[in-house]
Amino acid sequence: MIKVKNPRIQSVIELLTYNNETKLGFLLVSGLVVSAIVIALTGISVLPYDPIKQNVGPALGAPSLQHLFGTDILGRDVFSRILYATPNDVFVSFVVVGVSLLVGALLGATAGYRGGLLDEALMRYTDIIFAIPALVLAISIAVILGPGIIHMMYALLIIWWPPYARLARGEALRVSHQNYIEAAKASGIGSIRILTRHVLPNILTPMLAYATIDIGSVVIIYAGLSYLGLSIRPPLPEWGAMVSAYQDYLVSAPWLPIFPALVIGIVVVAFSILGDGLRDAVEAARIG
Amino acid sequence: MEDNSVLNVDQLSIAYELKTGAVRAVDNVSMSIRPHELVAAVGESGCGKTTLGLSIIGLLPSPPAKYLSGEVNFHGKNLLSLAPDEMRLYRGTEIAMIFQEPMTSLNPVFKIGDQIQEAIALRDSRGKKGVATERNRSASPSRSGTNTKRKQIIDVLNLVRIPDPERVADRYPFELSGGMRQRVMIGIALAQKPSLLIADEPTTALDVTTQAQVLKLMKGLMEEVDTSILMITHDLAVASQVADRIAVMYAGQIVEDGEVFDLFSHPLHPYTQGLLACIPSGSKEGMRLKPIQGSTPDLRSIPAACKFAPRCPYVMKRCEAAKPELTIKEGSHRVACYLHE
Amino acid sequence: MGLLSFVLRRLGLAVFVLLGVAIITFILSRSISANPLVAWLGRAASMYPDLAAAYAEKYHLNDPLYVQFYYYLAGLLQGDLGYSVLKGRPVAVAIRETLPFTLQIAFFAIVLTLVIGIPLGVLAGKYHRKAADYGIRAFYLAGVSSPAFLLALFLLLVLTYTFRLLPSGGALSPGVSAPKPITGFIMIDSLLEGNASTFVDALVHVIMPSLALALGVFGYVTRVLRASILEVMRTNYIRSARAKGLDENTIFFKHALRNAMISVVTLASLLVTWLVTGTLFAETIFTYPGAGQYLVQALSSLDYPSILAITLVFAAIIVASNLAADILYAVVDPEIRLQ
Repeated sequence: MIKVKNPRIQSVIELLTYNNETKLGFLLVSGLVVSAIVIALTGISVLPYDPIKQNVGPALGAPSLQHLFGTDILGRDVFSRILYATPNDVFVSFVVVGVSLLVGALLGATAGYRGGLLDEALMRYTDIIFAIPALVLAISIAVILGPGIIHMMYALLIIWWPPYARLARGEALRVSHQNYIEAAKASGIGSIRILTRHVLPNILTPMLAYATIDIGSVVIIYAGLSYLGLSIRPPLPEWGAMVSAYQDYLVSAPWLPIFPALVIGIVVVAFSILGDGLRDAVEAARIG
Repeated sequence: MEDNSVLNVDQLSIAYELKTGAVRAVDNVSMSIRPHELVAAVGESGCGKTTLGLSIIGLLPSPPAKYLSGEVNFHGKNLLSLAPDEMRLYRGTEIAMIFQEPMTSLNPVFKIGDQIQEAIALRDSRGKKGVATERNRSASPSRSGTNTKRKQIIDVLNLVRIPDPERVADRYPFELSGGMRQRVMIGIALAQKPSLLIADEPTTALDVTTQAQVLKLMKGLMEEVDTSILMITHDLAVASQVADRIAVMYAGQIVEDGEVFDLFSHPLHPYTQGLLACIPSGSKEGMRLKPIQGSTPDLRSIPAACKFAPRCPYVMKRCEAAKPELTIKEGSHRVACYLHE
Repeated sequence: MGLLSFVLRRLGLAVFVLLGVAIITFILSRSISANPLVAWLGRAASMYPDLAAAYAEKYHLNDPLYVQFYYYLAGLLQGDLGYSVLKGRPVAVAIRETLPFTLQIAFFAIVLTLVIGIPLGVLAGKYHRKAADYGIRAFYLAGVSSPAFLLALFLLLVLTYTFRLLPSGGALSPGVSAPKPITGFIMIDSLLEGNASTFVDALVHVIMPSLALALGVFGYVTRVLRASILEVMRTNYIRSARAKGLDENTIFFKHALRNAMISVVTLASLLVTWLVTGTLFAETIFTYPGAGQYLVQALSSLDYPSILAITLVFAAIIVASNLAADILYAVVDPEIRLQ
């Protein structure tokens, strides 16, 4: 059991080591994040092969010791390409979820706490956004903005915050009626201060589990968008784009489309495991 | 040991095995209930009364609970020796139980009438009193038409004095008040014609007026339906309104046990005396309520001493040396206290 | 009476939401390019000047925005969704041709989701914390975490190319001709025609895309049902049922499940959203001529009218299914009707 002086960090550690799921999930996710950062910073030098360079191996070579995931029609090493694309998905998903969490929490908490017109407006607006499937809406926006990773991120940012707002609103409603809030109000503390000091910190923890699993959801949607060709920047690799590019080789070289797709799935599984574990941990913390 | 007793608990001890240690919830309890008798088990939360009730009907989750010793004799048969399937055949039609939270004790998606009907059907399939005939279920299908079934449901609702039973039978639980739901629970329990009804804090969740009504109902029904009742409650005043006999429990033991009148006119055990002094009584205005000093003991430790000793105003040396046994003081009035040996 | 007013209220909300979606697509259409005609006609705007002029007139594209929106809405209600250069016909016609295929997939996907998800959820709930429970959870985790194209490719690889069980794509086998279009749903039409072999052929072709989608979504059903079962088994009314003397099977299947199933209904709207999203990939990989494939093709050729129209149509489908799910929920849970 790791013990640290700072109580905030201590509680985070407690959450992360709550059960096997959180420990395993944290291990996988942190491995992923660390790899992403390393690759983003050091570029191709840390990879087995140059991801863009052709003919480093045979064309359509099967997975082997030299080429863990095989090679594609142009002789590029698939494993290196997948690794090189890691920072994209990690970066986009963290940013989208992080920003959505903050924006959603602010809007939702304010709406839940204040109630009234703001609350009603938020609920109706999120009702409308929920009616359009995220991917389809993202496509429509992407079409306007044009292709590219950053544009995809913008498109996702626009549509991703409503669930957080709803969650925050619900939590804020629950928290607002608790005694310490009433006490704060009674002692004349202004609304903004109550919101930032008392309401927000208490609603963030329950939203944490959802956010963790949600990162996986962004990865799936982003992979979908890149599969559809919306974030291509050839010849640089992108997991989703690789799947659609290699799709035709399903019979002749099945490893080509399957590995990138599998990697996406595994990344999502990692976040799901961590998120599930965190959900139990948060629940236990709340009861205790 | 009385032969015609409905229930005879003999030196029952039950412990819960928790991560923090074993907790002795029921400690060497012996008591009996006669036909047509309402016995109240009274005590603070955690004194073991609910555990006792659940153990009689066989609903005690068995880990973490562990039966250490003793017997639970129902019409002479030791229920603890039965296999779970056999015990199930006693539930409902021989021993019934109603619980504290009427608001959540009825299935929300079935109508009241259907839930009563289920109890009746179960009773019919087992034969009104016998246990063995459940296997004849298909051999004797209910030949009564829907009209008779409906009438039986209405009869049950009338039994528990629910107004407008025709409409209530078609309602869902959430449409009824707490008091009404509790009456329905009583009706369902009695519809199966058990010879023992265990009522665990049946009126605690109700407001005072409804409480009085339900208690009056239960008392009256005992005659009509040929049932004995074991009422579990923390409220001595409630018990005194309806009980024939009261067993006072403390820290898993029965410390005093006797007819209501005897108990109230000369309470023997210091704990009983303390409880009586706690009852706010309208006629003693101006008098201060005297709470009992101290708090209930940690049931994990089993000292070889009287468990009430730390709080007893009359504690003596021998109280801390050994535990007093429940002995007869006079007639049916028993007490476990060295003061009265 | 409670049920009727509930339905009316939900209907009102549905209409409001659809209006909101129309506003959004309107805003999107005006954001595409400075020339609003591009949103309606795509490249046809420059190719067919007469058509362009007619549209400009009809939709008052020279008038202020709120007037444009009014005519936009009017046009939508009349079924005018623009013209698709890609398909060479009005978008509405193209959608009418392709949507039934998507709906067929969606229908079978829902059926498969329930058929796979519910029994697994019940098993996981009944054998809580035993091997079966963990196995099932691992299975659905894999399903839910996989992008739709992974599942589709996987099925294609295994069922078609390895075991040669099912065809690789299309709505019908190459030699089979489509039935007379009465409803637009080839499966219904072939039945109406009395043509059993066409029906079976269509069925065989719809299985893989539906299965690919179902595998990705059944996990939600299983997870929710399992959690709900565990929660219900801890309630007081289950304790009362035990005290009545009922046997465990009756308690589990009659008392507990009936309550636990309610939670599955609330999932319905989420399911439809995921299914609709997945059809884009499933239809592309299995070359199934539905609205999802249409959207992807429109995307490649930047056929703006089609893209926007399909967005609107998909949203309408989701709103309609949410409404149906809400009503189903009210039927199943008597307490909801009074809210």
